[in-house]
Amino acid sequence: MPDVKPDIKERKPATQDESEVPDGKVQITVILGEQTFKYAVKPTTAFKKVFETTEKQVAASPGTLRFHYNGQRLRPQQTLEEIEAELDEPVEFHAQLEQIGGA
Amino acid sequence: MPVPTNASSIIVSNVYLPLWLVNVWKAWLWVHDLHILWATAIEWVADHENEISAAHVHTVQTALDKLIWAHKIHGFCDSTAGVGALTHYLSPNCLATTDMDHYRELLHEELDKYGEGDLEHVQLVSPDYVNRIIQACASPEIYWSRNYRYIREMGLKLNGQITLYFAGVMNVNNSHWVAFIIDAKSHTINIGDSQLPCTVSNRGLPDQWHHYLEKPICAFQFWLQQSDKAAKCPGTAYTYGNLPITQQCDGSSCGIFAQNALAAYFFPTLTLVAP
Repeated sequence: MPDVKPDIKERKPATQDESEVPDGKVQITVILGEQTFKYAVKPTTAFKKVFETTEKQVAASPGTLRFHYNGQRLRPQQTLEEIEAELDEPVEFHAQLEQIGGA
Repeated sequence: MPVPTNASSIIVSNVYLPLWLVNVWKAWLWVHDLHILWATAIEWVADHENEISAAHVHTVQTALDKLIWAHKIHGFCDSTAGVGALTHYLSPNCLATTDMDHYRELLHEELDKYGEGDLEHVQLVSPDYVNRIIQACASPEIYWSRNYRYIREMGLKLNGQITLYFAGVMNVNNSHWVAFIIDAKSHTINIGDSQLPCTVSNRGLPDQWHHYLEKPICAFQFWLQQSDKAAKCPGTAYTYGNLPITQQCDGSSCGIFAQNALAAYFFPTLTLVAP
């Protein structure tokens, strides 16, 4: 099976300088409550990797975080290109754990 | 195993579920068996296509195509699942945010098809949207950040009465769904709580809502006031109203009743479901 080089680079700490984003990649900040996670991704990279990495970071079960950009729910197969993200400004995704209600 | 006399619930994974759910499960199993039979027939026709006359193949395929078991489910934007995926709705797992979004999509489609132009003036939002407004209220400085622009723009649409109804369900304490409709015409925040019947007659926050609905309702007020200021068009203060909703007598129906309350509001010919 061929090695697949991931085109997502998790960046720590969250305050890392903008100028360190590699050429051709865009910095995404994921905000989850008080926590922020920064990633450098290609505009054509599916968000699936960002979602999975964030879920691992916070020890959340797969699929239990919901990600939004400008109020729109993001799907794992979407990309920055597809959602027409405004790349001239910081790109922030909001993440939220699934909530439950019944009683 | 015989059902004990007077039993009204069963335990599944340590959760009490109403006994009538057994009938739903039975119905689903019946449909599931039928689905397998149908899938087998489709496969058999495909395998034996060359051995049967073209006319017969066409007749059989046309008949089988009438049952589109694995087709995209109406209202579920990403779902291409077959009937098996419906088991999700036979357990308490169907009470999560994603499910509330599915119901919202269904109502959205209904309004689009039968709402006689209502959709143009109705904004149905995800529970996550309300959470963003609550976050902005807690830290007003972020309300003015670029990432909250869509929320500010929605507020301006309400202020300008381009959007007349801002509606959805919101989560309270990660345990309860409550319906709301902000009516820009009457300047009313209507709340439908399946656990809390109350009559609102004054402009203040009803006492019954203070203990757990105060945070989201204050966030709505903050947002609406900020929108008025931004529009430089101070509007009338929003008062409170009751959204008719069925009162629940179990520990699992709040989400369904909240969605039903929204549907009944926008489609007056619909009646509220019985508890």
